[in-house]
Amino acid sequence: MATIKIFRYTGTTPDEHDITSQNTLLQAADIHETEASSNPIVVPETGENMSFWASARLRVTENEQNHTINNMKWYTDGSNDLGTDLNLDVALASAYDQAVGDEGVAGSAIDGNHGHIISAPADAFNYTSESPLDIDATVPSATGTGDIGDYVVYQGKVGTSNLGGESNQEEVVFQWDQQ
Amino acid sequence: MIWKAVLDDGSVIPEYNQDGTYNKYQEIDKSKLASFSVFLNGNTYTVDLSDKAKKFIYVKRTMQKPGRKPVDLYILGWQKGKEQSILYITEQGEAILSGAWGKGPYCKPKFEFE
Repeated sequence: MATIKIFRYTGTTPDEHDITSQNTLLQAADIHETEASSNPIVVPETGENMSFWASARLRVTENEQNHTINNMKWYTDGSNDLGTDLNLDVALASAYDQAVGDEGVAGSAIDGNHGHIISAPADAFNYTSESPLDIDATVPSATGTGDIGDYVVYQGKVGTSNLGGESNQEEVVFQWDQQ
Repeated sequence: MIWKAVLDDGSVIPEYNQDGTYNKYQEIDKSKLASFSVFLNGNTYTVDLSDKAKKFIYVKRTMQKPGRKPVDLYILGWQKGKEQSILYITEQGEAILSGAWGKGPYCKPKFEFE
């Protein structure tokens, strides 16, 4: 059977972080960390502040038998349990674009700043196993190794009612078929 | 999980041969399948494909949460026009049969991420 991993990308090169077996934080910086944010998002006095967006994508790392990998989906449990006045948006992109913003304060919005968006940002919790987000427009399938599907670009949002401190952790699901 | 294909002429193609080599699922001529079996947790699940109007379905569906073990679901069965018979098999061996066109199983297989 093939091996598929989830990578998060940061920086200009970009740097690749295998997050298949670990969590990753959304912060006010374009970095991958698993705990104890060194760049928390500042709670705004008005409006909302955003995290730097995170870009993740599936990659087939081993496929000796040339299985067809396709039908990639992304979804949540449909319930936003991040905490008070915290939200999560998700968009799709056809290519990587480095996250930008004011480091240590907040990130810039995906809309208008990411140059390769193919699906506009929407509430991530709208996407569930019953109604998942299709993430297979850019590279719909593979019979070898390499990156597949779209970049899943997600961004945390902090409102004025948030009291600060660590948010609760949310889990997302990447799904694919193998034939 | 391993599989075994039986062709219309009676020949058998196992996933793994006795000499340790293997056969690629992709290289099987699906139009010549008489039956296809998967073996999982001591159970055997077989699809009869003697009716050549049946479209064969075999998919391994993986759900991966970062930081968790992946969960696999095997989807095995056939479709013919608006008829279908599809088994959803979990790695724990639970199997749920679905016959509804355009819908998933009547009751979802239960699985938990570890």
